[in-house]
Amino acid sequence: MNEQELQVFIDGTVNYFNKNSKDKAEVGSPYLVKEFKSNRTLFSASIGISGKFQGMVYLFAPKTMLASLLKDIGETEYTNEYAADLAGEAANTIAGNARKYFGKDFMISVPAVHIGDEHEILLNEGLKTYAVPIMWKEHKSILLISI
Amino acid sequence: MKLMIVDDSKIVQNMIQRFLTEKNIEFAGKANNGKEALDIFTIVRPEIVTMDITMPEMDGIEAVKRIVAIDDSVRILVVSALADKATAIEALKNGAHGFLCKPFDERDLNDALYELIEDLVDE
Repeated sequence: MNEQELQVFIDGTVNYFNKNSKDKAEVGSPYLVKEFKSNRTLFSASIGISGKFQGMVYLFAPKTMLASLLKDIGETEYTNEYAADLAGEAANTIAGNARKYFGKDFMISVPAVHIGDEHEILLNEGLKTYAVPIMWKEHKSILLISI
Repeated sequence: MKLMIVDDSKIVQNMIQRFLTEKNIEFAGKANNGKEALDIFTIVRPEIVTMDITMPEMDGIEAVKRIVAIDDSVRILVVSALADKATAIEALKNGAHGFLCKPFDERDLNDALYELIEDLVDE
């Protein structure tokens, strides 16, 4: 994945927050990772990529961030179920929007959502995986792109 | 006019329903996937449907085809994160009347629904 392709996901992430909140998201410098461990405080959503491209897109976000975003979009319930739903929808939207650049052969799965426990994410060693920090309000989440 | 919402995200279902509260559109039901949408559609017979594409069990494109086969007067607005032109064209070819890309806000949805309703009234 080159810099321009990585930017597609960054733009999609910023646009997602801008549409759903008055507070703008800021994106930190992407960096390469060989391993990533989730923890009890994080909700994760993963999207499988298939077709002409292979890989995964993951979004890791703390519940406090998801609850705050739920409030901004007008929800009144901040349950784990809704936080997980939002994580899945955000990951799905960011990956789906990337088809504007990659085309229809960039096929995405429905999101798989994991609620906060410690586990290691099994990254495909044959692919470069970029971690993109996303700062929004006082919260921080991570977008992992492994394509 | 009755409207059914089809999306596998409850958050998105709720968002569309909330945005409808000030309009002359009656919320008629919601479905979590294409298969559920077909079941509910045959009972409720809404004039308008908002339809996600990427869903488990039956995707939105297949559901659009099957719903239009039941009643080709229904107006379907596809609401999807799949932002490529080919997907929008495929949805329209299969019987959808509009395409709204996620993420969307209240104004985006209003504009897209207005076009659908305006078209319905003109006929």
